[in-house]
Formats: sequence, C-alpha cells, structure tokens
Amino acid sequence: MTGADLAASLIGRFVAGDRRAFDDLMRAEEDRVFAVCMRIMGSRADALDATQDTFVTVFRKAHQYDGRAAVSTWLYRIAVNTCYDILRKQKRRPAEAYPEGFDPTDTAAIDEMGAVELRPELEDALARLPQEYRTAVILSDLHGLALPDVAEVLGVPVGTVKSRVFRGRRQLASIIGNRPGSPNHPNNDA
Amino acid sequence: MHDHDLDLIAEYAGGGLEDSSQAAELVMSCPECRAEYEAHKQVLVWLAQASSPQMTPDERRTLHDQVAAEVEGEAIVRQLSRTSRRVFVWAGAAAAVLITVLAIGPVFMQPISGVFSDISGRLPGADLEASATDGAATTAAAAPTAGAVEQGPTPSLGTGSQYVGDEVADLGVVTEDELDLLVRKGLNDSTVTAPEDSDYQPQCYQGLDKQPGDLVAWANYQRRPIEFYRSDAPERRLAAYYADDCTEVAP
Repeated sequence: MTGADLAASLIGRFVAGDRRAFDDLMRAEEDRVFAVCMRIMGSRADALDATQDTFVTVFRKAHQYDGRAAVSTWLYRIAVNTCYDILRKQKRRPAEAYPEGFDPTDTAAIDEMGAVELRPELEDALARLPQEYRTAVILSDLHGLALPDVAEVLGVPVGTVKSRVFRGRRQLASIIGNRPGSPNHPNNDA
Repeated sequence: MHDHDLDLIAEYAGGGLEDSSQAAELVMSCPECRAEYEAHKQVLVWLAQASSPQMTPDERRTLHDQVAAEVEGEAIVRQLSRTSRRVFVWAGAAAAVLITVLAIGPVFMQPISGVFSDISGRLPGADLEASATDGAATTAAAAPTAGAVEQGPTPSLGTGSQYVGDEVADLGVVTEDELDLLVRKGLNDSTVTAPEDSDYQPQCYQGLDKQPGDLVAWANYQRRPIEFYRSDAPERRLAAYYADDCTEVAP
C-alpha cells in the first residue's frame, strides 16, 4: 500500500468511526504538515500552533474529504489556510518571528535551535518574498508538489501558480545573488 | 526577452516541459536566456539541498497531547439532512404537544372523568382517577396530580442549549446557529453548548445500519454517551457509545 493509499484508508476508517485511525493519520502526516507550516510561518512556536490547528481541523472535517485530491494535497490546503489565518491574526510577516537575540546568519545558532533548516541567506530571502510567491515556491520547489497540485492546494489556476513560482524563484535568485557573501555575489571569491 | 520566454525557460529549468526543444534553443542561443536559466537552476539546487524541518520529541509529544485535548471534549455530532431535520422538528413538536396534553389532561378531565375514564385510565394519574367520583377523594386526587405537573419536567421544545423535558419532549432544534443539531435528553441543566463548527461526523457508530439522515446523534463531554435513534422511531435507542473512547453503553 502506498503512502497515499494508506492516508486515504486512514481517513476512511476514521470517518467510519475508528478514532485510532485519526491518530495513525496524524503520525503519518505530522512531519510533512509541520515542515510546510514551519516554512510558511518562520517560527517553531507558530508552526506548532499551525500544525495543531491543522489536525484539529482534519478531525472536524474528515468527512468532507471527497477523495478527488490526494490526502496530502487536502492536508496541505488545510495547513496553508491555517497558516494564513494565523498570519492574518498576527498581522505580521514571518521574518519577524525570529526570537530575540537570534541571528539568522549564525549557523551555530541555527543548528542549536534546529529552527531553520534552509541556508540562512535562502531562509532570509524566502521570508522576504511576497506571501503568495513564498508559499508557491515552498510547495513546488521545497515540498515537490506538481504545479497542478499546488494549484489545488492554493485554489488558483495552474497558470497563476506557474507565475508565482517562477517570479518567486527569480526574486530569490535576485535577493541572494545581490547579497554579499552569497555564492552568486560578484565580490564573492569562493 | 518576452514574458512567455521567461516562463518557458523557468519551466524548462524546473524540468516541467514535455517538449523542451524550444526552451533549449533559447538557452543556447541567447545569453540573457542562459542567465535566466542558470538563475533558476541555482535556486532549485539551493532549495533541493535544504533539509526538512523536524519536530523535537518534546514538541511532538506536546502536539499529540494538545490535539487530543482539543478534540476530546468536543461534541461529535452527525449533521442531519434537512429532510430529517424537518422530520425531527415536527416529531419534536408533536411529542411536546402530546406530552403537554398527557400532563395537564387529567386536571381538566377531573370534572368529567366519566366521559374520559376510558382514556384517562391509560394516562398518567389514572390510578388516581379510580376514586374520582368521591368528592373528597376527587379533591385529594386533583391536588397531587396538579402538583406532579408543576414539579415534573416541563415538556417543550428546547431553545438555545437549555433542555428540559422527558424522553420524548426534549427532542428539538437548538439555536439558529445550531439548526443542524438535534438534541436529546442529556443536556438538561448543562451549560454545554454546541461547538462553533457543528459539522461533525459521529465517531462511534460502528455496526449501525447508516442511512443518510436517519440517525440522530449527539455526544458530549467525558462519559456522556452518544445516542442513536432512527428518525421514524425516536423512542427506541438503537445504540449508544461513550464519546471519549467509543465503548458501547450497556443497553
């Protein structure tokens, strides 16, 4: 049984009344959900809140899953919407979420905190992207979703997704390429 | 370079083109196009090298605990179809009227008990009717009957989440926001309110023959059972499960 089949089966069992299937589903998908929340929210605390809210929503809405999209796509959609809701409530950008005293360019601090798994300059550049570009790039290029699946998650046409992903990448290249010390920077000898 | 070319090159860099000949030609022939291609490729390489954020064991445990705590206390209610809701609304209303008549009927029937004796003999308080022809006994009988009405539950359709009534009469529809919920006895005197989002599926209805809309169920906190009834026979409980662990309630 593939992961997708297993997730669909767990949803079906849960909807049919098997409470333990929900726990199994959560354990199977929580890393994926946490990862996308972490990348959208930019802070562990917010990512954990978003992950929690996502699974509470899954618990409540499981019977609405109609099987048209993969469970993972459906979960991503809930997770992304949950993150957006939290961000809207916070009315702040993820880049502001670093804890006090945390230097996003300090690799040791990053490793110690375990908060940011991307290269610091890339993390910083991602945080500077407009939210819709950032989410599209995260889903497409970091989580490997096909563009039609990203479109399904975001509820926008595939053409819009392409535009967001491509522009997002272009901006990332531009931001990173113009940063001193970055691999593409003209003054960087490395 | 046109936007179309930019997008073509970006898609080419991402490996999403079925026919890449045109994009490849652009990249080979135009320095600007090549730079664009390289930029996309470089970003993709950086992103591909990123590891996935992981929860610590403590965070994972906290997540499990918090999700469990959040869903634990929630009502798990099956949304009924509009049709069955209407059935239950009418059934509830009819039951309320019936109970009201049964409850207060004997009081009004006292003076003409001879006429209604056949009927009242099957009604609550019928045992008191036996001596209705005796004036003193009639007075004595009437008082406790009326008293029973006053002290007993007031059968009515519920409003809000406050329910009173007996086995049948407290079927009803809650607030405007909770129209999807039908509530049975068990919420009496409770401060429990329906969840904001009442769009739930019951979790504990294994073994029941589920037909769309034919079950009414509501569940609540801790050891209060989820009960199941068929819309055409609301007086007979089909099954009941405890909401917290889905164990069946003994008949």
